[in-house]
Amino acid sequence: MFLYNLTLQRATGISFAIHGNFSGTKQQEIVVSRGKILELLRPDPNTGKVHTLLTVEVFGVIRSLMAFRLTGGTKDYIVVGSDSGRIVILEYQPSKNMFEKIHQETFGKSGCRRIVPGQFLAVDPKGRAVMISAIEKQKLVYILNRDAAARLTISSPLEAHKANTLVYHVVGVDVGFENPMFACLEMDYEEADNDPTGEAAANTQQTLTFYELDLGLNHVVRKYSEPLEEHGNFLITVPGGSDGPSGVLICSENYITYKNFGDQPDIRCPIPRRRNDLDDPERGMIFVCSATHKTKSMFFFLAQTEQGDIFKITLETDEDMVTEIRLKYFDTVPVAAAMCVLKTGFLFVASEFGNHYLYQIAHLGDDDEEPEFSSAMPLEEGDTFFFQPRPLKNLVLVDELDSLSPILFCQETGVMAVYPQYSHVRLCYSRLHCSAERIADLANEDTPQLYVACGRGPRSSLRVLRHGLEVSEMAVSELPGNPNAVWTVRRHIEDEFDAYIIVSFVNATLVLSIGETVEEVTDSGFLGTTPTLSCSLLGDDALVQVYPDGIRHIRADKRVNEWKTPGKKTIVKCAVNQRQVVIALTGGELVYFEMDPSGQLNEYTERKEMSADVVCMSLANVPPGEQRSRFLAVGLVDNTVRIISLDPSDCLQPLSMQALPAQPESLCIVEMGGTEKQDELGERGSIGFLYLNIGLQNGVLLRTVLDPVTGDLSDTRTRYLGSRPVKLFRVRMQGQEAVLAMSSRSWLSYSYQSRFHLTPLSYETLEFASGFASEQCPEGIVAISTNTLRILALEKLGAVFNQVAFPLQYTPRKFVIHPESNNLIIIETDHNAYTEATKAQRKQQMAEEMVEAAGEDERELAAEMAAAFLNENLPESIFGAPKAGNGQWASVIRVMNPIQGNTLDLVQLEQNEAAFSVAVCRFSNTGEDWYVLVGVAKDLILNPRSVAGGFVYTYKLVNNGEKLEFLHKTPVEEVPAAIAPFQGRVLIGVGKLLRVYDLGKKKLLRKCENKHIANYISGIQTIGHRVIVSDVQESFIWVRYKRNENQLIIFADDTYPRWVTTASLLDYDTVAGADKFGNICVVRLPPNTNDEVDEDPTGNKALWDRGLLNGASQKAEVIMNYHVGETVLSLQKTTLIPGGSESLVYTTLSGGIGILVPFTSHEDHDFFQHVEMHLRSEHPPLCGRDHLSFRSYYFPVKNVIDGDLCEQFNSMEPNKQKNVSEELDRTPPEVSKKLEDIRTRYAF
Amino acid sequence: MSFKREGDDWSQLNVLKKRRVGDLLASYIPEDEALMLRDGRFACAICPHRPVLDTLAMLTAHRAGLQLFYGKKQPGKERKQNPKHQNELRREETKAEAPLLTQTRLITQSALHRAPHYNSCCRRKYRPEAPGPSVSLSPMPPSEVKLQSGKISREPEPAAGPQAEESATVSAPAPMSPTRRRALDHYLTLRSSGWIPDGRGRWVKDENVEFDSDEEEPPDLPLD
Repeated sequence: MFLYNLTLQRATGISFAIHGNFSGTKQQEIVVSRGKILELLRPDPNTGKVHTLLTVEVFGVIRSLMAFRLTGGTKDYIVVGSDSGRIVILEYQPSKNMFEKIHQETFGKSGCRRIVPGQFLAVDPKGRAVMISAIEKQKLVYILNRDAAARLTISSPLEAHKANTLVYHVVGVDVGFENPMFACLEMDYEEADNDPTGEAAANTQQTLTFYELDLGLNHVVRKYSEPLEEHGNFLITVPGGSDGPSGVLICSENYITYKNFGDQPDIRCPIPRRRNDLDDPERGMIFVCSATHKTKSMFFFLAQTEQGDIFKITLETDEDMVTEIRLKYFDTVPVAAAMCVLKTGFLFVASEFGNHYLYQIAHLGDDDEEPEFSSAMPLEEGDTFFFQPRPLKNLVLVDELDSLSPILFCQETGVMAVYPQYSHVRLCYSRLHCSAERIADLANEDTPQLYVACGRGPRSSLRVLRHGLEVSEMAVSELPGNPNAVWTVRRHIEDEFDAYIIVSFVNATLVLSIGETVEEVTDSGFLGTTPTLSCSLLGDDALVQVYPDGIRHIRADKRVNEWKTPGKKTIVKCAVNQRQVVIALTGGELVYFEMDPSGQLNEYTERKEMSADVVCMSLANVPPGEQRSRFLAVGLVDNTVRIISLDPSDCLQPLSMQALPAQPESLCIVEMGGTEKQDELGERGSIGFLYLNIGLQNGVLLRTVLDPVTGDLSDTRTRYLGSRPVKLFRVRMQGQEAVLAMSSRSWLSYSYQSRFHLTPLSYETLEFASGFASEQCPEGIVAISTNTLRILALEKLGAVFNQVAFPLQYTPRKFVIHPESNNLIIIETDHNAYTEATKAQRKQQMAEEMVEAAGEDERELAAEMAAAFLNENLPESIFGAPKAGNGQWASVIRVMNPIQGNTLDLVQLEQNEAAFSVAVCRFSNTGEDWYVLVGVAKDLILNPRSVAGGFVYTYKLVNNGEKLEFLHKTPVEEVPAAIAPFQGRVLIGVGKLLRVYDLGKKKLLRKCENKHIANYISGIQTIGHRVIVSDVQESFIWVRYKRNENQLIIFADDTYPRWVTTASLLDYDTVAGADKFGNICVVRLPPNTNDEVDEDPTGNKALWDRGLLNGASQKAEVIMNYHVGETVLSLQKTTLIPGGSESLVYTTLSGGIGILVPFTSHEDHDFFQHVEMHLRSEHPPLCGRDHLSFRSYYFPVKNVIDGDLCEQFNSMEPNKQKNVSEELDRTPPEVSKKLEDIRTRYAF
Repeated sequence: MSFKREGDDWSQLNVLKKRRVGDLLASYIPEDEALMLRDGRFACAICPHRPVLDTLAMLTAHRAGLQLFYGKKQPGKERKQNPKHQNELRREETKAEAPLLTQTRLITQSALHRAPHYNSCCRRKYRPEAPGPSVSLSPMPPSEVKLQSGKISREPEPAAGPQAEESATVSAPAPMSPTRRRALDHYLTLRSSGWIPDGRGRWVKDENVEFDSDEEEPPDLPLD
């Protein structure tokens, strides 16, 4: 078995975010790291939308990211610290839209190691040096400079190592133009290590250490070190030189402290806490991230606490001595992994979990009622300030970036809707892959859906993902009668926005003008009493309307020239662009008009008679700087498309012809695939290829490359779109041309980040469309659907899935689907959380205390305050849930309708009961009733691990699967972490015990047990008599249930220690599994495996019992190993597209979705193996990690070809593409066609 | 670390060689004459006391001894029979006067028979446990069962389902009567829910298994 790995949706969680002027223009961009992906985002200051410019997978772990700028420069560079043992400096090239590796310096071994630098990066604020540090011991400093040609240079590394020292954080101190200085939070553990009594360990203090790079002597000295009172978690640089007092802010538990060299005394201020907070008061408060904003005149910091409250921190200075730290509550946003304040007044918040946000900073919070806290205010030690959290006041949300991270569980439900009663047997999904189209009939869609449980704590949600582009409906208006067609025209070529919408009916034309509102006009010059075939802007400021009886040319001064059809002929089809008009008269006669420099529309002297009736025509847009488009495409009734030259030298001569499998319906020539049309410096980027899109009557879309010189057609790609004839419309998307194809479903074909996308719109069927640009909607679509006119916008280009989210209360752990009603039964569990009941109880208690604490005369006021406190209800999804402390758990069991997203039933478990497993099943001794079993741990403490036991709650599903009726609860000794139905009973993994339970009257009855599983059962799969148990640490164990002896006997296992997170059965002998380190494997029992083993009656330890490699005598074979790079939490074998083949779908903790697909032919495998091999050498990963060793991180990669690397072929430079494809005996388009083919065969 | 052999201890090498040959010859051990144990050891199914042998070589040696013993006394065909089988056959003949009793006893005994196929060394002929879901695996209609298993199992299997097969290995492959099958099913249901026959025709509770508090007697064979 050979597999091919494809990413459907890249990870969406963000681990780092930096901002700077990466393209070298005034505009600021954001670079984010998503684990193994580097992405460049550009927030558009006008619309407030964040656009992704570039995404690159680096095949390595990005551990740190920094932006820096050389002194006096205008462009920011990116320094990346990764697991490659190398420091890499990247530059963004806007003209090519790629990151270019400028420097790559090797300093150590690869991998995330303790003493190999890469974990921390710090740059000198003046851009003269960069420090890269390991978690322990090693620090290296590189000097950055420019050479004579103003190119960035990097020195050899200078060492600043100190043995036995742990590092917590490193920043560059702003010292102006003095020697660069770095501040580190360190801890020296040497003494503690050598003192066996543990006394030294208890007294070890963290230190703040300054390292100075002496530029004159070219070495680094450890300048000064000072023990800290509190344990710090991170540092903030304070602007220095001419901008501020220099120094650092140390963020530690409960305090923020300012420190600097010289006479500066430490300034310390407590971190304010929320008033009447339900959190454990003993719990310290820390800042988790910060952002600095600096202008010429002032600076401030925004620091966020772990509850999400942002404080604005300012420093009061007196002659460069800091006298006071001031904190002011700013606003509360979800807890961030990184924040960036942009010069345009935006705050980008990369959330730790869930969606990311872009806020506009509307106020700086300078002149409001909010109290300001200061270090100068006298407070007792241990005392702190209090503030009242409130909804946003200073920030305004402008954009939200969807993020699935973390995905905890996912299930693809195609078949379920069709054969509900069988879906509980996993096997059925694959065996009965009845097409997903039938689901469509039920759910009114023609794609399967992915149900994804994601998020954490109160920001959790259940999201339904469907393949398709999200459509935002800007306006819908009803029209008198059913229109046939719609166009938009601008008034002048320089205009940014459209002026008119022209709607054609069977016997009339309606003209609407676009302004503040859209209203009908009659003075546009268009003929209203006839249907329209096409209209367009002609030349600079004229308009043209083609209607069955003629052409109407409307000049800017409203003069009208009419051209009438000769005799009884009428115009049947036409094609129009900015300067040319071609019409087809009845009988297949083509008439060509071209605009001359005076603005006159002239007919060409000859006409051309076609051999058959014309069905459709298309003209390309006039290329910039040219007079005309040279090609006309004509589709004829005889199933052909012909390309006709419009060049004056051979005007109306046929150039090429293509035969089609069916009659064409629509044609569209577009230019796609080029990079941005124009970058900020005014340079034109490379021009894309011309593509002829042909929509056929049988619902197929063909895309063919049109040679810009000869007009030859080549490299045809085919895709079936739907059951109706395909109509094509040219629209603009992100400054480029795109094609909207309409069949029974609408699709958008566009080029995005040098890859072609053909994505369906998640919207109802449309009939006709045209591009639309207005102030509110610069890149929209105006479309017709029955008797309505709709204005639509497609904002999330590049996204594969469109998602609908339903909020949940706690982190979803697992869900099962009730096969009869299709309802989901979700278990949600949070650690460090209160249940609703405990929360209410604590609130009540606090309110009572409040009243009691008040003096006699204040009682009334206190009672009022207490009432206000009880009524206060801040949404937990923003303000966070109260943290209850270690060992406190809260859980709910929810029954949800996945289509409407409404909760049908909700069972709250008691405080400290944590649900870990759920199953829906029937018991053979109870007939047709469905039962839900939930495995719950009681008083679980994670570290050091202890548990008071567990329960299995049994509920009966009643009311057609909508209600849970509590039956009984069965106590067990350990955590029941896995439940699976098995032969009319259930298998439950209780800690390391595998048991068979049957339904009893007062509890579940234990019928059989196996005690030989190694550590902890994390999952159970069953097939026939085989039970495949996944151990948390020791991979898979195959167990056989012997009914006549009532025994569970282990007969086989795996030899690798895999920390299995999830597993899926591929067939009777084969299991696919994923582990917590980000590997996916497939293991298979050899064909001669014997299931019929017996228990050994002697009790002697045999060879296998003693072995290190688990106990069974028979071992599974590894079929495939692959390192994904992100923890995989769900695996499922399924079909993703109607009529497609099966693939193994996985989702990752970081929000990525990928598939592994089998190769069907040896040639394909051979081809892709060579592509991968060439790309490894020709296009090595960006951050310096070797691709092969990355994919073999834990186990040597076996039998998997990395499609993500292969698809980088498309983003390689053309000459390299040519080299690689020559080695493969193919042309570059052939290679990219093969890459596209394998993707579309299985997915999107 | 290398797995290359070092040294020139020819005796050890010869031992290994001998074991290898022994392993290869082991494929001549018929399936029902040895049992494979969970921990990779083997039990001889011919000897009534089921001796457990650590390796295949020891099993071969043990069998060589048996061959000497049986080989001289009995004709080749008889030798293949498990002594237990012979007992049964004998009993069957003698107690022909109470047919019902004999029948039940036979059923119980054949069900009790722990002689699954030994097949780690012999290439298996078919896989009785192929993933045909058992009758009680899940409440699926039988048509569905077929649909599911049809693709996987490599050979058609008897309609009785795998457990029946398993427990009735010694019985002839002739189709079972419905009564017999029901009795067998009932036996297995009782056995798997923790009842143990005490050898005197009564059922006792397995002390490691939990029962409902009002469950004193095993359920009777359903009448229909």
